[in-house]
Amino acid sequence: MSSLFYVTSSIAIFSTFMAMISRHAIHALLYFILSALALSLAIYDMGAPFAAVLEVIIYAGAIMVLFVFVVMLINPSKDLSRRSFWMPGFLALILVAELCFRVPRHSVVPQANQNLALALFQQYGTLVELVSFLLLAGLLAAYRIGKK
Amino acid sequence: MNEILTVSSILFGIGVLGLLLRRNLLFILLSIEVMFNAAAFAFVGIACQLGQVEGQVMFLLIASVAAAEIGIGLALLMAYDRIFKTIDLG
Repeated sequence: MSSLFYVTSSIAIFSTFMAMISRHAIHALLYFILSALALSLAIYDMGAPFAAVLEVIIYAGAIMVLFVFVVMLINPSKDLSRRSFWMPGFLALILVAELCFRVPRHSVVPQANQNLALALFQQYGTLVELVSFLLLAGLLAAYRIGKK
Repeated sequence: MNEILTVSSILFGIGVLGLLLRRNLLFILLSIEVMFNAAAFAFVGIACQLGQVEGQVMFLLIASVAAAEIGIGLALLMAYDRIFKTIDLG
């Protein structure tokens, strides 16, 4: 394991811990986004670019935005001091520095991506279809529950 | 491989502790996300160490399950908030 892995996973563990102990939901979500970004960088560093991109898109993009919407709907925050955004911002800067240091030297291997695409749509095509069914069922259930 | 499993277990432990100790529905759902994330990280890390692509396929499955679960969970949370006017448990 490279030393970057240790830095990245330390950031991930620290931000997950901070997410669990923060008082405000928005701060917890901010720290969890940071944790997802750090884990994504660690996954990329291990040589799985597809999973890294998926982590950013699904966890930091979709799930956390859904959380933020719900927090805005049910619990408009009263006192969000700007001071509490320094720590996540600083850690995110470290992640960006690692990314700039890492990406130019670490070219993505096309062969691995090709193998992954073949595995996804040939060997595990049924799984991908089942995942689409699952997401559709989740959408319908959320709509049915959320309807007044 | 040991480091990956250590990081993953620490993250999973934080998730379990948050699930057990926080009495807020939003934080409980967040802890479940943390545990999903830790499990997916272990899958991808071990598969990468072994040079296989199945870890990323499994990551797709886990992320989709997490997304569907969190959609339904947040809908339930909003219904709970509409009925009880709070999301704190007990």
